[in-house]
Amino acid sequence: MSIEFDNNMPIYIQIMNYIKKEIVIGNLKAGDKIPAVRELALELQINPNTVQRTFQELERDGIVETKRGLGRYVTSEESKIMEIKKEMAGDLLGRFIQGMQELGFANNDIVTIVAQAVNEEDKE
Amino acid sequence: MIKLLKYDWKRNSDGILSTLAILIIVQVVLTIVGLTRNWDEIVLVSLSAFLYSLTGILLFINCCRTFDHNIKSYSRRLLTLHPLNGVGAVIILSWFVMMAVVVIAAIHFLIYASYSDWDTSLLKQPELWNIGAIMGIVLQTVWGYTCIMVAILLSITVARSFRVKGSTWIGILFFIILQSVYSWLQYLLFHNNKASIGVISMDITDSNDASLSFFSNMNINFLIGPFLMELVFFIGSLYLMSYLLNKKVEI
Amino acid sequence: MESVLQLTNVTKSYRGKKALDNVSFTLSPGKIIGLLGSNGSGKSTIMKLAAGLIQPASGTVTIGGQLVGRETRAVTSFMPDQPLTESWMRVENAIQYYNDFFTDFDAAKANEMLTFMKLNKTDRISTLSKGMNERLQLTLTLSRNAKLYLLDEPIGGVDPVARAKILDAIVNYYNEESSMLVSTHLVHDIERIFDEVIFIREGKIVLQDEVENIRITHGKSIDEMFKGVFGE
Repeated sequence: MSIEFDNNMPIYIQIMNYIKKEIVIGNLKAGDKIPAVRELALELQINPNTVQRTFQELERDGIVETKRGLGRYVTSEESKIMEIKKEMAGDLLGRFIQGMQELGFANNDIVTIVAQAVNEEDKE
Repeated sequence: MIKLLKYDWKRNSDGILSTLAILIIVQVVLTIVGLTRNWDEIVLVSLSAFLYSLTGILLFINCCRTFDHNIKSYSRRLLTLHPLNGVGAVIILSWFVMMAVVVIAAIHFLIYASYSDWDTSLLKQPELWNIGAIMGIVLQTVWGYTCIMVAILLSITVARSFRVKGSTWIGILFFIILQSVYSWLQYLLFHNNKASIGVISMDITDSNDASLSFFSNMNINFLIGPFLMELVFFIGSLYLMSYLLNKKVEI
Repeated sequence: MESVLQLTNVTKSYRGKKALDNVSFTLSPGKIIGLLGSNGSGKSTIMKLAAGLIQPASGTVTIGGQLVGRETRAVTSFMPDQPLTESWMRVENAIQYYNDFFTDFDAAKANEMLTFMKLNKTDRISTLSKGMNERLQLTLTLSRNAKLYLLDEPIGGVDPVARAKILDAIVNYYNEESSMLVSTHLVHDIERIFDEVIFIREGKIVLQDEVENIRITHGKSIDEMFKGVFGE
């Protein structure tokens, strides 16, 4: 696991995003054990309390579950994982749309352009 | 304290042992050269005695420097031991080096005496070897030496309590004042200006009288007053050092 | 929550110049705190006060509620900017020295750390490079199970490899129940290990906050914040 941190952003949010991405792309699967706080802190060379905070936030969002005495696991609820996927897609789309609007495209044009691009992908 | 002594010894052992080795070599060479070249015995003996004193002083200074180094070093100052443990360790180290020099000198003397044509009958008088008297002298010597050591260590501590340039001079000045006050008080109290801290106030006027003179020194009246005063100064010095090392000597 | 280290209105001068001017702050347990400031800002003075090596001219310094002194030294492990060892020593002598004098010294942890730090027990300390020496000093300091660790410029003047190793060791071997105060002027490399930072300039505290708070509210890294405050 390696993250290029951006010190301008809260580190715990960066780790949260990283773990969410790992789950969405399937590197971490539903029910997988996630590393211990200390292990991850050492690997990322960061403060263990920051990792602790990351895990707490993930727990609160229901993405990670703690099994008493066993450690932390990725939630086994597929719906939760789907939710993260949608959330991340939403973020991506939001940024894309904003970028396109800044380039001067109207909403209709954006839809057309995306449709075309997807079709071309399919042909290749 | 003994653990500290262990580390003081480890740090200084190379220096002390090599100094003692050089002392022995120089004394042997001196004796051989002296005897083969037929030097005057007085010259030979006084040169030899001078070398012993010099070595003693060098090793003594080395002990003081060890103390000075210790009170400025993180490795010692961060310990949870009471600071007087460090003082005690250096004093024991200084006893040890003095004893080493004295023992070497004594052996040298015995060897020399047995080969020379000196009249050693005096030394064989049984009265001279009275255990009590000898113990008395030894204790008095060790006590006097320890008092001097404590006065010097206190002066070093005082010097290091000031964060200014030339604090060494403050220490020297303090030492002189301490000695003067001590002598003055002693004069006031006992009308006896012969002794000062650490200088043994034995009065041997005639070597033939040696044994008698030693006995007279065991007279308790002679000792009690000045000794009590020395004790007061000694304990006072330790208190002051303890306070300074806890509160004032900063690194 | 009870404070591990607390300074209250502490003032300290050297030769008439104020090194600390009415400084107050509190460290809570279980945190790694960065004490950030340029050279001569008063970082080392705070460290020495907490270690009980110097006394405040006014104000109080307490550790676990107790005034700093011989008793608090037993629970405080200090790595100064100068060696904790003596020049005649080999690595093993230094370990033995700590083992002899500190009841909270963990010999097993020390051995593990020596291996991690790639230090040889038989090496003479006087022949160690600056980076290796810092590693040894850190090993000695962190091998004690103290309540408060004080690291004065642990990565100052060492190459990036040793720097990374030292940061690894701090994260790996620091005891989570205790607190750690780390002074440095090299913020970039080390800011990710901090919970909180304290900025100190010319003997005065200018900021104390959680690092993530600073990043959230200012959108800046601690390093940029530091450069802003110290006008580099």
